[in-house]
Parts: sequence; C-alpha cells; structure tokens
Amino acid sequence: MDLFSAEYILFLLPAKVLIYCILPQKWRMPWLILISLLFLGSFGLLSTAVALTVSIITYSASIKIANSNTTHTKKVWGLTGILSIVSLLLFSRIEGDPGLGNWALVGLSYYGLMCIAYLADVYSGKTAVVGNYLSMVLYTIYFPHLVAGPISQPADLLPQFQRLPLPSRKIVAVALKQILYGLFCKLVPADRMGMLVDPVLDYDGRADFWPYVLASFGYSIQIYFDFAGYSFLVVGISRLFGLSIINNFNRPYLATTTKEFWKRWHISLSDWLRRYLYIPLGGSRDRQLFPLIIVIVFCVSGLWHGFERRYMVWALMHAACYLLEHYLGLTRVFSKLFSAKAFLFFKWVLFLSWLNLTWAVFRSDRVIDALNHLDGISFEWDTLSLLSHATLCYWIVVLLIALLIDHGGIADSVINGAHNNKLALLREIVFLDIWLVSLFFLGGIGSTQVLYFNF
Amino acid sequence: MRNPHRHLSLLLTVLLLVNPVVIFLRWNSLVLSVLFFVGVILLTGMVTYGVPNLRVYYFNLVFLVGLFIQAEAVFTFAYSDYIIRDLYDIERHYYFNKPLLRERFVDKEYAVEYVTNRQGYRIGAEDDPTAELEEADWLFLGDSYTQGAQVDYEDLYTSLLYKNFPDKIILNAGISGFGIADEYHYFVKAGGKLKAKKVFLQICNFNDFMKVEERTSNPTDYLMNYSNLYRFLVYPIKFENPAELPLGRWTEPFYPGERQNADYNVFYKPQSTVKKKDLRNFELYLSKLNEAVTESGGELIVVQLPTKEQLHFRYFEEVVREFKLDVAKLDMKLPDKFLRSLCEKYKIRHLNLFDEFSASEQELYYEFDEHLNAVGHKQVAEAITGFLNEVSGGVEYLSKANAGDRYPNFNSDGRLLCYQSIRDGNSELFLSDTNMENSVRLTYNRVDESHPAFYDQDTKLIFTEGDQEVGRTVISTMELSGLRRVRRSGNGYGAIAFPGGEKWLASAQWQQEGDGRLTNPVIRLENRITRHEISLTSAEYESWRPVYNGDRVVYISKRGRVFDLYMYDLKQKRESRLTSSGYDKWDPVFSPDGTTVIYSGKKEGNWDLFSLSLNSGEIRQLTKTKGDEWDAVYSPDGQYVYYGGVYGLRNGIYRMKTPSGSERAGE
Repeated sequence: MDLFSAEYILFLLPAKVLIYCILPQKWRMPWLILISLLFLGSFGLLSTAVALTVSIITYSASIKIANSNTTHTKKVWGLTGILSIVSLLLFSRIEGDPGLGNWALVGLSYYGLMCIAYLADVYSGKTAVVGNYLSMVLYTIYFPHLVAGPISQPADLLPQFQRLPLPSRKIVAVALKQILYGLFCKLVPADRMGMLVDPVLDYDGRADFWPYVLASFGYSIQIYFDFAGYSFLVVGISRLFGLSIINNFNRPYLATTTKEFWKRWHISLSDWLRRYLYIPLGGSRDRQLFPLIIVIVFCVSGLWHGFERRYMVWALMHAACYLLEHYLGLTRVFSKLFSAKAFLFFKWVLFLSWLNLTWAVFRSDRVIDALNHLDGISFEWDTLSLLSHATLCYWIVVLLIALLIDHGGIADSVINGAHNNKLALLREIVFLDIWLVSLFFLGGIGSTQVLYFNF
Repeated sequence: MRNPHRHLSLLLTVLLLVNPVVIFLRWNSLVLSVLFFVGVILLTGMVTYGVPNLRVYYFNLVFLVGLFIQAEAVFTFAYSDYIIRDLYDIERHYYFNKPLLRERFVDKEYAVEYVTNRQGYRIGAEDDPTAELEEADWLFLGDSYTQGAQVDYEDLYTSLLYKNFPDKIILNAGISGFGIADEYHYFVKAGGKLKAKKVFLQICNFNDFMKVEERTSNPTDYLMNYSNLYRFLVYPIKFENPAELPLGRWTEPFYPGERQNADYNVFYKPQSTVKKKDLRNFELYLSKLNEAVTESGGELIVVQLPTKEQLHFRYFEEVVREFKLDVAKLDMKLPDKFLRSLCEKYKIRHLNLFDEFSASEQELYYEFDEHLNAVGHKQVAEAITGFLNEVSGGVEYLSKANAGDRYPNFNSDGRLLCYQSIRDGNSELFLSDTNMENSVRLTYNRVDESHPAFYDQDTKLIFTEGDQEVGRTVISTMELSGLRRVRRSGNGYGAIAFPGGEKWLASAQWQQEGDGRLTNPVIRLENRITRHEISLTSAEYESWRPVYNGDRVVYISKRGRVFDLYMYDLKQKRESRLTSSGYDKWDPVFSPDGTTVIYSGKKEGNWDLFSLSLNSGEIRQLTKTKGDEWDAVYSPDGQYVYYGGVYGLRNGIYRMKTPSGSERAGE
C-alpha cells in the first residue's frame, strides 16, 4: 500500500480516521490494529506473520522479565528476546533472494529496534511491562511506522495507546498541513530530483566528474526531501488518530559537525543507537575505548542500512569524521577555531561538501570504485556535457531555495504557527498554495518508494 | 443572517470563478456543470455559516480552482494550436484509443491517416466509424508494432491477413506502449467479450520484457486526459522527447551503462533484481493471459518480433559503439529462448519471426523510426498465414474498401458485375469486371439506388430507387451509361425486380391505401410482352425477393413468425412451401441449372448461406462464420457463388467456389 497515493490520501485515510473517530474508545485500539494488519498484509502475509511473531516474542519475554525474581533470569529472558529479534533482523539482511518474496519482512528494521528498546527498558525498569497483548501488537505493527520509521521510544508511544484520545480541531489542522507538506516534499522535490539524478548516478560507463558532482548534490537534496516528506506524512497521519510520534528531522543541513548532524538527521535512529548501544557499551567514560565504541556504533548503523560495502564505508567515513572532530576539538587551537564565528560559515560549507561525499558513497558503490581508479574519471570541464544537464542545474537551484525555506523554519511555522496577524495568515496561504499547486502539476508524474523503505 | 447581501455577493463571486457555464462550454457536460454549480453553492453555504474559521482556506481554494478552470478555457479556445492531441482514453489498468478519432500522423518517414470507430478500434480512413463489432474470430493484442500507426490501415498486417482469411472477423487491438500487463487487463475488461477463437499476442524484443508491471492510472493521468492545459504543461516533463534521445532514435532495450542494461536490456546476460522481477512478471502475466483466453474459449498464440539490432549489423554496431557495451555480455537470442521456453511451459503456440525477417532482402523497418514499414507488415502477414496453415474455405474478398458493397448480379455472359455500394451516405450503383479490379460508378445523387440487375438484353439495369426505410421505393431502369432513367412502377411502390429472360419480370409490389398506410408487398409477375401482370401471393402477408427460373418463381414470405422460402409453379399455378424451420431466410437464388436454391438463413444469430436441393429437398449449410453472408448469386458458368458479407468492421462482396454436392460448412 502506497501512503503517497491519491487513493490512500483522498479515500482510505479519511475513511480510517472517520471510523476511528466514530468508534467508542474501547474499540479504537482494535480498529488501529486491524488497519495496521491490513496495511502490513498488503505487502504480504509473511510480513504480517513475522511482525506478529516478533510481538509475541517481545510480549512473552517482557512478561518473563517482569516475573523473574533474579537478575540472572531477567538477563536470560531479556537476551533471549533481544537475540531472537536480532536474528530475524540479520536474516532479513542476508543478500540475495531468500525465497521469501519481494517485501518479505516489511518494517522489521523499524519495529525490530522498537521491540529491542522495549525489552531493554523493561529490563532496566524504565518502562513498565505492558499487561495487554493488544497494546504490544499495536506497538509493533502501528502502520505509520512500518514503511520507514520513525523508531519510537516505548515510553513515548505505549502510554498513548492506553488513552487513544481524539485529536482536537487544532491538531487536525496541523496534521493536515503536515500531510500536505510531506506529500509535497516527497512527490515534488524528491521524486523530480530522483528522476534527474538517477540516470547520472546509475550510469556506469566512463564518468564525467562535474555532472557526477552535480548529481551528487541533487541526491543530497533528494534523500533529505524523500525522508523528510515521509516523516512529515506519518507524523501528520498519526496526529489524525490523536497520537504523537517523533519527527525524525531538525534541519539537518544546518549542522556543521558530524555529531550535530546525527542529532538532526534520523533522530530516532541516532537516539536508539545512543540509548541502547553507545551508552551500554560505555559511552565516553573510557577514553581509550571511546574511539572503538564510536566505530562500533557507526558500523552497526551501517549494517542496519544493509550488508553492503557502501554502507560500511559510509559509516566508517562518519565515524572517522566524528573522531577527527572530537580529537581536534580537544586541542586548544582547533577548539577556538571551531567556535569562532568567522570560521562558522567556512566550516559549514566544508562539512556539507564532506557530507555530500558521504551521501555519494551511500548512494552507489561506484564512487568507491572511482576513487580506486581515478583514471576512469574525466575531470575535463565539458560545457556541452554540463549543458545537457541544464534541467538538473535548474532543479538544484530551485530545490536549494526550497531547502533554505525549509531549514529557515518557514515550513514549520506555516504548519504549526498560529496566524494571529494578517501577514502571517497571508504567508501561510501563499505557502499552502505553492505546495498545492506544485502537487497538482508535479505530484503524480512518477512516484517511487521512499528511499528508507529499503533499510 | 447578519449581512445577506455580502454573502450573496460572495456566492456570486465564487460562481464567477468556478463558472458552470465555462465548465459546460469546455467539457460539454451538463452533469459536470450542474455538479459544480450545486457543489459550490452547498460548500459556500456550509463554510460561510457552518465553519467560518475555514473561510480563508476555502476561498483561497476556490480561487485556485477558478483560476485553473478559466485558464483551461482560455487555453482551449484561444490557443488551440498548442493543444497536444490526446489519443487515448484511460481505464484503471490500461488505456485505449479514443473513439471516433480522425488524425493524421506525419513523420519524416511516413504520413498516415489514423481513424477509429465508435469502440476505438482502428478502421480505414473511408470506413464507416459507426460500425461496431461484438464478436471476433481472431483478436490481435500488441503494442505499437500491431497498432501500426506508421502505415495505412490497408497495409497493416492484420488488414493484409484479412485478405487471406476474408471470412474471419479479424480485430486489431494493438496500442502503442502496451506491455503484457496492459494487454492482459484489456483482454479481461474488453477483449475477452469478443469471444475470439484465436488471440494473437504480439511481443517485440524491443521493450516488451522491460518494466513489466501493472499500470494504475493516477490523478495525473486523468487530469492529462481531461485537461488540455494540464496536458500541455505536464506532457514535456512526463514524457521523453525522441529528438533528445542519444542516438536520435529509440534504442530500447539498449542503454548506456552497465546498470541500466542489467536492469532493462533483455539481450544483456547479467541480470539485476530489477530485470529478474520484470521477467517473473512477464511470465506471470503471460500465464494469466493464457488462462483468461482459454477460459473465454480461445487459443493464445504468441507472435514474436525481432528488433532492428537483431537483424541488421549497422544498428547493432551503433548501440554497441555509442553505448560502450561489452559484446561478450550480449546474447542476441536471449529473448527468443526465454519466450520459447515460456511458451513450451504453458503449451502456447509460438511464432518467432526472426528467421522470416532475417531471410528478407528488403528493409522491414523504417530507418529512424523503430517500427515496421509496409513491407514489414506484409512479411508479418505472410508469416502468420504460413504458420496457421489454415485454408480460408476458398473465400476471396473482392471489394476494395469497406463501402457496403452488396447485391452482386451478373450479366448474361458472366463478364460484367453490377452491385450497390455506399457513397456519401447513399446507396449508389456500380459496374465492374468479375474480379472487381476495375469498377465504374453509374449514379451520383442523393437518392438510394439498390438491388441492381441486368435487364433488356444487358443493355440496361433494373433497380430499386428510393428510401427503403420509409417503404416508398419504386422500380426503375437506366442504361448502362447511367443515363435515361425510367420509372417502371405505376402508381404503387416496388422493389427488388428480377428479370426472367426476355419475357418475365418478377418483383415485390405494394400500394398505399386511402388512410395512408402501405399494404404488404406481394410478389407480382409481369409478362413483359403482353404487359399482363399477376400476383403470386396475397397481401395478407409480406413477400419479397422473387427469383425466376424456368416456370418457377421462388420468394420469401412471412406467414408466421419468420420468413420462409416458397415456390410458385407457373405451369401448375400452385405454390409450395420449401422451408419451414424456425429462423428467417432471405435472398434466395437459383443455380444456373435450376436444381438448387441458395439462400441466407439466420440460424445462429447471424446470417449464413444455405443450399436447398429442389430435387431431394436436402438443405446444406454452406458457410458457418461469425459474420453475415447475404445476397448470394451464382456466376453464369456456375463455378462461383458471389455474395455480400459483413465480418466485423469489414464488409463487401466475396466469392467462393461453388460447393460440390457433398460439401458442408466446416468440412
């Protein structure tokens, strides 16, 4: 089921929400479970079966942990639950066709981590064990999570399932604007940019350097709008059901360091890695182990994206940069330099260029091959070749403006801000119109699955 | 209601923006116009009085919608030169030709008329677009290679095939851009209803193995279908411009770069997951189509076309050179092997045209365009004819166009043929040689002339004149030059005169009564020497179509529920009933020796030819087709039977060898 399809947005979703609002409170959870099961079922029965299995494993293990008298038994049950889910995660990452169909284990990467987080929290006593299996099922298969996250924290989500309130009018208004902006980000900037950069990035003949650089900038824009669009959409959808889930983004391209970037990009994954891997491994307490822990955390992040060389190289690049920034920051000279306002812009441009390179590696193995075989790249400034990518240049400029507007917080204020004066209202209307008109003309030309669906 | 005038002004402003009159003018739909009118009034009222907080958003939306509607109207009416022609109507999972299209496609290599009938099937430029069909013998599914918008209708391989199998209803449902998923959905939704006995699926190695997935029309597709402005703005973004292709021509499935070839190029040995999925989908839809065809009572036959790169080294060399392909990774027979193995697996007959095309010494494709030229279509038709190895029943199609040619009749030496044909909506009279290679039009007017027969020692034609729909026709004669028209009917009306040698003239005649009603037609026989006339039948019932032989007149008469054949013996002055089965019979004709009568009978919902032996009374069915056969006539030497016929969208005059005594339809 495509969340970005017109059928879904215009017919299915309103029907789901309407029925949810009409139903008495006690029926809302079964309704959410039913529509989540149907959503998951649209990708294949196996996905549904695996999700339900994970929910049973998690639920049983959490009950056992809660009922255990000794720390050892707690640990055994905690590890049993976590390792079972990790095994399934590893199995789903095995390269090749395991014979399980195209969408064999949809959403496992996301709800798998959420279930691990839940077991860890139950084990550590941060979260009370869920007494009702239905809540556990809904926590596992809640449909807005399944395609590409976010990886919600149990403490954020589970208490909301107990209440399941109806959304207020104001929340509905915000939700609708979030959905509109999410659709705009995915279907207009991301998909249009994807159509332009894919042929350049996928072309594996003799590469021209400059078009490739241009396309890699395009890809950096594409992946942001793709993932942000999805995130806005699912946060909006959740709000229509009265539920609040974490937004995965906080203007990531404003970051000037890797550490800051990961506090702004895919926040729920970074947060999960920090809580359930980085801190348990020791965090920054042990100076000698610190670099190793950082490398491990980033490597796990790379492996989570897929068992491919490019993800590992990408993760190591981030780990290396993180450590470099960390150790340079410890020196007095660089510490002063890093915090100097005059240097800030230069640092930002430098970091974004580096980030662009990491995205290029993330996107394709070819960059790694190209770096090994520089003779295979043409560095000539070929005006004709660049002119043939005029549309790409044009779109990069247009979308950079869109990115600036987005990162300038205007989109957020349009979505969330109360228009208490006419100018603010006018601004809101203008932006809503731009999103609507863009969607109208460009929204349905050719949509692709969100990039993070693959992870 | 604090300020009704203000609210009324607002409503009028909204109605000016979303103007129902403009909507009606642009889309010519009263329903749509009324829907908008009512919808706007209700919504405006609801928002104004019910949810005033939404007013700003609502009126903003109205402004946007209104702006689009006005812009659409201005673009459509003031800038019609810029409208991009839209040839297709979209369905949920496929699209199809718009009905009643009349387009002309001009390219540097061809100029072609493209015309469709009311159902959207392609027809000849001069054919009647209102003609429809409900059944077919052979249905051709395929893409642009079958649609053949690069050649004239009569040069299409399906049209050429019809010349070899003229008693089959052959329907071309090829649509540019169709993949096997579209073809499957078309068949399930529409094609299957035609109950074709043979369904041909044309597959081209060009692009039929790539991007094999179900098409689902989205709002953009519908908007492009219904809005000229939207199509104008979005078309260049959505579709590639062939002029901007790397080699100036479509080169699918060859692409630059390893990845795209591994994804899409069926000739490329490395297979990505994308290609594997496409090939799996291809098999899936082939098996589903095969099942659907079998369920509808037909047989699926796959016809596989090679690409230019498979046939000609220069095209192959060009893509290899320009796209820097590794020749070692190419296997130019891969799609052929793949499809052959699938056809074997699902027990589908498979005609691969690679060998036939390779053996041809002529260019079968256009130089720049990737499609078949007229020679290519001819080659396909010949190959399919040879593959089917079926005898057409010895039927020949003599007419040169689908112009409603009917009622063939011979002169006494059998060298001239007269017949009627439709021109500009009227039935006109023609003369031709017996192969209908050369014909002469005799009448040019707005009056219907029909049922011609040679008369007065072949110096004249006798025919029916006037509109048969209102029943006020008369019998007239004219010279073979088309001049000196003489009305033979007196005060009454008449039709379908049949000269019996120099002496007799049989016809159906009727009168207008005092109250204005017309009597039933009766069979009258006139002695042309004495001018004496007798009635062979009573006006209590309808009688038509007399034919004379020796001392006998055979005609049809409706004395019960259906028309049956009757014979009047002039010597014995006695009528006898020749047939009494429960279906209509029309158009009797004597064999030259007078021993047999051939007639049309509507036995199984359509008209077939039957013969009745006057000696033994045996009735044999001579044709058993899905089409209609009418107006049979023997050639004077008795060797052939000529008849008028309609086979789906085809019609005209046909000829078959006179069946021997034991032959029956289908034997």
